[in-house]
Amino acid sequence: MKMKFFERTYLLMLVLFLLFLNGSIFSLVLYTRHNALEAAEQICLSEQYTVRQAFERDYSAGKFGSDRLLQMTYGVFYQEKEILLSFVDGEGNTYSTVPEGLDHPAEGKMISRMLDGVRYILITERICDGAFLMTYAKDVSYLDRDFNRLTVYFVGASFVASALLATLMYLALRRLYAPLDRLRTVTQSISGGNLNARADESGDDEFSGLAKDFNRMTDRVIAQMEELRATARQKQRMLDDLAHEMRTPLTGIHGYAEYICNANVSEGERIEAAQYIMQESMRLKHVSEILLDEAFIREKTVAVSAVDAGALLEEVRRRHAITAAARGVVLVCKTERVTLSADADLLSVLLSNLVENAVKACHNGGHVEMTAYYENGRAVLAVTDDGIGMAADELAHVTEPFYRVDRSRARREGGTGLGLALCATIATAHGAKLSFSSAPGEGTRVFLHF
Amino acid sequence: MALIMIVEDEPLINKLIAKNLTLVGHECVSVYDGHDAEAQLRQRVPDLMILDVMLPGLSGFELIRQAGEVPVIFVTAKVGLEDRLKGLALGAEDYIVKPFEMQELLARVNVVLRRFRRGTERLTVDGVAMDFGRRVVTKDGERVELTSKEFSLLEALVQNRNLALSRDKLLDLVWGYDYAGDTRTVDVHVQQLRKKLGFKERINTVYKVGYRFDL
Repeated sequence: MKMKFFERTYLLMLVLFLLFLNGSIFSLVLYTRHNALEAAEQICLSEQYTVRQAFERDYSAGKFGSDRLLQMTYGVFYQEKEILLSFVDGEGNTYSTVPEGLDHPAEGKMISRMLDGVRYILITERICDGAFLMTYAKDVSYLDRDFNRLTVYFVGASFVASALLATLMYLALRRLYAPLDRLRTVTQSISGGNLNARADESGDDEFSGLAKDFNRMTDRVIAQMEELRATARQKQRMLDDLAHEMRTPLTGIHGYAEYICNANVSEGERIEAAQYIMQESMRLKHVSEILLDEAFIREKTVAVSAVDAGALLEEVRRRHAITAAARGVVLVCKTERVTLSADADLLSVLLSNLVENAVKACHNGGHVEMTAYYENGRAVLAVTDDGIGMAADELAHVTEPFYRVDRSRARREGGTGLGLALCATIATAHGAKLSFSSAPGEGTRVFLHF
Repeated sequence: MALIMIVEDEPLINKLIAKNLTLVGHECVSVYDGHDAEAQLRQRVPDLMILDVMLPGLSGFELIRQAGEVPVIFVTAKVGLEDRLKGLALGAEDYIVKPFEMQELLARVNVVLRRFRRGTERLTVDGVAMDFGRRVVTKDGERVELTSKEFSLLEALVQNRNLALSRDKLLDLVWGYDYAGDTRTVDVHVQQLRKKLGFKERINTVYKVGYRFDL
């Protein structure tokens, strides 16, 4: 199993800390022991010096008569003070209170030796102008006892400290890692579908910074998701509408064909039925053409060139003059010198649609006016009519595909409900804004702001 | 044979349904919006209502509550199961989704009318009196013995009178979907009907389609 980052950090830190701690304790113990031994050696050296001084003085004074007696006196006297001595003269005669089996150091040296579990410090020196080789020995077992006690104490302390350290470090690390865990809970919650979960941003460290970044990222992702969802919904609605739009003419076409085929009716009725079929199939054709146009414009990069608005409006006017006249509608252009950078063909389609709608909205004797002018240095095209107008709630929907203000009237006149949706697409492709202003009975004004 | 109110805002479809229903002998009232339908209901109670769901004014789902005892068939472009269930839960007898075949609508209209015993089920043509409720046919006052299939065939033709029915359709209507027989079975039975009832001029063969009872 892979260790979590927390566990790895914790173990690594713990190992380093314990190594350091116990290393320190160990070296402290060694140092203490070394010092204790040195101190003991100093004591031994000064004692040995004292013994030697006394012995040499007494030897020179010739006390106790014989060398042997002198040696025995010192040996016995100092044995009581836990100092052991051995003397060797030039002929190899030896007197010794030093236990047998202990190595004696070389002349002028000091050593430390163990015998039967007892530690001795031994110093050997030639004394009395070379008459004797004196070895001084002292039981320093207390050093080992002290050292053992100290070791036990330090090992205990090390255990306690290690345990304490491990616990405290665990708690401290946990505390430091808590924001990370909290952030993780939040990310899990979000990936589990709760998009409203947000990380705690309190504090002023790297974690709170991360939390802030994370929240910003989540907000952005959710916003984009919403956007996509809205687009998808819009597409779906468009498809639903399209399906619905097609269903009615299809039912009609099928029904009237069935009627022609099966019904026992007059020739006149059959012709009427056939006309319905033609009318409805033309409508379907028209819908498919506009949908294709719209898809085309949506994908197309607009071929922008300098367009003289006056000429453009005049051309649109000419094209619609006859149909307008047939309805008794007066169609006029009023333009300043306005030059647009636009795709003339697309703009012409847009204006044609607007003019067509305006003419249809007018009663006999109505007026439709196309204008081009500058407003705050920006070009504006407007189509104004004095027709039936629209209510505010209708205005809000006019650019939605398949929306018709008056469904039955629009269908009678062959409207698909797609014209203004197409206009909006063209306007967007030009980076222009299409806006409407209208009230029932007061006509409609449509503006195209570049 | 029955008074049927058609509430549908598409004139095209409304007219189409009315034409077909009139052709087979029903009387039709065409209404194009919800409020009009409400007003019409108060004036004259129909035997059956054919109702669109999405209507200007009052929706079909709202209108069905005003319908009272009148059986309702929904005709709609809404295909969602939810809408269908809602329509049926509100007490509609049937639910037909556009685009539909007119003969399917007629068949369902007949089923509903029969279930509610609305409209008349008797008809006399050329001295032949047909009583579909009691399943009795007399010619010039004398009872004509028809087999069960012959009677059902006559009923199918008369209920769809003035509309041609294909042999397959007749097989479905009279013999049922499971019937494995030949379409010539239909021809044989039609010959029998023509002979027994003297309907040589009434039950006509329609070229490339099938048979039609003309009235």
